[in-house]
Amino acid sequence: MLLLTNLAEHLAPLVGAEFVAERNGVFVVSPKDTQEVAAVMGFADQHGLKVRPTGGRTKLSWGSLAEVQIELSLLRLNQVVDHPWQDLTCTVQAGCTWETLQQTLARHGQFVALDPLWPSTATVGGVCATNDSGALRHRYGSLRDMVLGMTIVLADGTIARTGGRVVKNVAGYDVPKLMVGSLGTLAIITEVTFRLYALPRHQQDFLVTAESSEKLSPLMRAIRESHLATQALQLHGNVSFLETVNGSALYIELNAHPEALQNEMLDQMCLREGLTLGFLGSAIPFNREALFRPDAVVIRGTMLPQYVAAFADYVQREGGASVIQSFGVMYANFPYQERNGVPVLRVVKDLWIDLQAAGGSLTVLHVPDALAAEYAAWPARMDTSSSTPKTGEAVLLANAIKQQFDPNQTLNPLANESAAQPVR
Amino acid sequence: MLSAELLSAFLEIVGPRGLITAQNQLQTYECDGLTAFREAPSAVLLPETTGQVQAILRLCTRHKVPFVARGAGTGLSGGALPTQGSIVIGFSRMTKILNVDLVNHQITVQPGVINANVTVAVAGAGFFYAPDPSSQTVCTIGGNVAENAGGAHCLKYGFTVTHVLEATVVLPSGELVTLGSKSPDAPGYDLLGVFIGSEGTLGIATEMTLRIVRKPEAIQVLLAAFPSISAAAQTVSDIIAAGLLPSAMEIMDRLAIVAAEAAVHPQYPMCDGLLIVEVDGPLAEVKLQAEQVLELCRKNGAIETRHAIDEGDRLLIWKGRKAAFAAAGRLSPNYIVQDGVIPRTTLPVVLEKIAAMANAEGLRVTNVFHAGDGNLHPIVLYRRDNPGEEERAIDLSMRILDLCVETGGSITGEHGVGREKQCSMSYMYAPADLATMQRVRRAFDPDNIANPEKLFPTPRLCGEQKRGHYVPHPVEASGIAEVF
Repeated sequence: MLLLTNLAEHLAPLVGAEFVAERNGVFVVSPKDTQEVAAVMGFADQHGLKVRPTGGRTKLSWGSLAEVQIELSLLRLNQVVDHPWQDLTCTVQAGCTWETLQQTLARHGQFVALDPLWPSTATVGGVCATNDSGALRHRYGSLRDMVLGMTIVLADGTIARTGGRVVKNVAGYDVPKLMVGSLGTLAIITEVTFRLYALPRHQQDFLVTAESSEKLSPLMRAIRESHLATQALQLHGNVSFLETVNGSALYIELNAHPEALQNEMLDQMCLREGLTLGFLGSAIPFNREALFRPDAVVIRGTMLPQYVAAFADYVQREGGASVIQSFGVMYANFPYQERNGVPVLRVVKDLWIDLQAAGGSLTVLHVPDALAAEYAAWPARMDTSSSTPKTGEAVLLANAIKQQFDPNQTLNPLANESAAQPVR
Repeated sequence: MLSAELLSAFLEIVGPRGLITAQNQLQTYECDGLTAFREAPSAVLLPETTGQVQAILRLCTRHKVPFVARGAGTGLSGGALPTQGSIVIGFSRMTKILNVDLVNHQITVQPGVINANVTVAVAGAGFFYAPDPSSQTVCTIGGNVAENAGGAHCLKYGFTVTHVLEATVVLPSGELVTLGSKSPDAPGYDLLGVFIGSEGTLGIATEMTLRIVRKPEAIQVLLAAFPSISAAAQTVSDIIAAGLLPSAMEIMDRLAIVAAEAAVHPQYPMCDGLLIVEVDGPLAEVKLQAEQVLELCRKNGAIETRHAIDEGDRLLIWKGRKAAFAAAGRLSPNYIVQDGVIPRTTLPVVLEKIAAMANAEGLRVTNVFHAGDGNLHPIVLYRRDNPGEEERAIDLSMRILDLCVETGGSITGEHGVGREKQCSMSYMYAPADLATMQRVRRAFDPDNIANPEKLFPTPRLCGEQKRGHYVPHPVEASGIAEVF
């Protein structure tokens, strides 16, 4: 039996003593490459130690995770390995920050067409493990459409290359798909190959405001049905923290040559709906990050596109603010306060039920410390198995996958044993 | 052979019209588009409902009978080839479009629905279904999902996996699961993502909800004739480097042009490298992009350029390209279509090597390919009647795949591994990589009855020895060290 007290002595030979540290009783190890990650995993798996892989530590509250003995930091695997720009692909290590990756790719006028949260600290591995995506998804799709291949380390230390390095490849199972959004519960991502796009050259940004999202709904629908080269279409509900706006705002990003005069078409569409088109600089006036307040419950909800405006107003009525992509992904916050005697977690639970009834889902991303105990006492974690399929079979299948990849439950065990399926 | 009891149980599920056991009728199902491999199934079942598929698979699990799902049988890698002792489950009686949801841009279909019919169902409302394999007028959505089918327009619009939101799947055990969801980002693992392209080895999808895409305002197709394939390939690189994203970029060589011309008369200019570029989007944008593309064609020495004069002309140009595989039959009685992928920048070098390999073997190889993606479709022409020629043709096509892997590419871009390329899998992947995939398989299909003996190399079919299989050490792959 291994004693936790001398764990550092066992880990030091694997990665070097200076790369093992203790933080609040957790041993933080920082391997330098995939081989060292494999060595740490092999050791941990063999000795029944629980491991949490981390990058920039920006989204650790996503997924109700249990205590672990080892935190495996990927921050030393931070290189852009290869950027064959003429092939529109790149291969990057998991610990590279999103911003560094994009800056490197921008030298050749390219980018990974994804705008995740906190790009200056969030890492490639963490963005993939949480399947984060932002407004650009409207035009370019999500990580599912961008990840070509991955190098992963399984719980038992097996190193596997999955997928490929070319834009088109259907040889064998697409294992990277399984890794995207798996919250580090199946394997540790150490390297990712992305397909790239040319940076947009004619971006124009607009904002249309109204007192409610329903008022903006016909315009949003019209834009979705139009031939405009829309790159992002994002609804901001209850944006009172914007100085000039109190209500809802529709953010529209076009990417078309100025000669195409798309802004004039958009202007006409606004007029037809009795709305005024506002011009913006090149930055979103506020973004999803603003929702992540320490004193608020923060959630991610999904829904069919047709319900986007209705749920924006729903959240607003309940005292929350939201940022919703027109295709049906919502981020919302509910500040921790009693409102008409209704506790905020009750509001969230009702929203969850309504989203589910509309064919969607809800995931809790952050709970203030003051509510942690109440949240932990919920009978079934709404963000896990209970919110998934119509039948329980998909849950069994997900558990079978977990069992195959990590039979000893070494990687990122979840706090709630009954909730073996991670959130995405 | 199936026992009489099992046959009568099957009969009870699908009825007399849904069960085929007569030898002469079973022959129809002994191969798919890869005709070099044949194996008659024990029986063919044609279910009409998801419930029937469940009942069939429950019996298969209980009696350990392997099953192979089949759509239109157009697959080119032997994915629908029966395995010894297996039944075939055909979907020619599950061809309904179940729901069209224009507000949310989606459509729900049964597996036997023909790819092109999805577009037909929504075209009136101004939508289309983007993945467009060359066989789209006959191939089915179920087969497309099994193979993660691609097509010429995947360059811009993505593959089948980009366009499937939800699938109702019957697991090999007969249990029913819903993978994915009609809303984005279903909670939990992306089981749908890994199911798509699993070549029928993880279960059978009996209902699929697909994303439909707004038809672009304008489409323009350009043809450019080049004195060499290399010049055409260089033009493709230049178009990408200029930051343009056409919806399709295709290259055909002289032999392919001759074949297409003989088959459907698309009136292509005769040359050694024909480049077809399609741009789509808002009208003004399309005009600007088309001009830029033409400029780059001229810069690279195009002998002749023209654009489609109208919709009919555009469709004719595509008809010629999509008929290329079938038209190869005009050049030779037998042929093998390959599907390797290479980094786009290596196109000229790889094409030269393929030509040299073909010459050395005394066989003709014609090339039609998705140049924008680096997805090659070398068509190896041969005569089965000539003793030994089929074996040499298969061997040549496999060596072409090895070449693709050596350049950092893949053995298949859209046709799948199937029976044809399973022995090449261990050339592309190390044992640990393949073992990782097997973990997925065991979770879905613990009894190994879903299209077994496909996709993965097996000792029985691939032999104990490996075909010069070599996986470079990461240090070597990254260029830090070399092996002498």
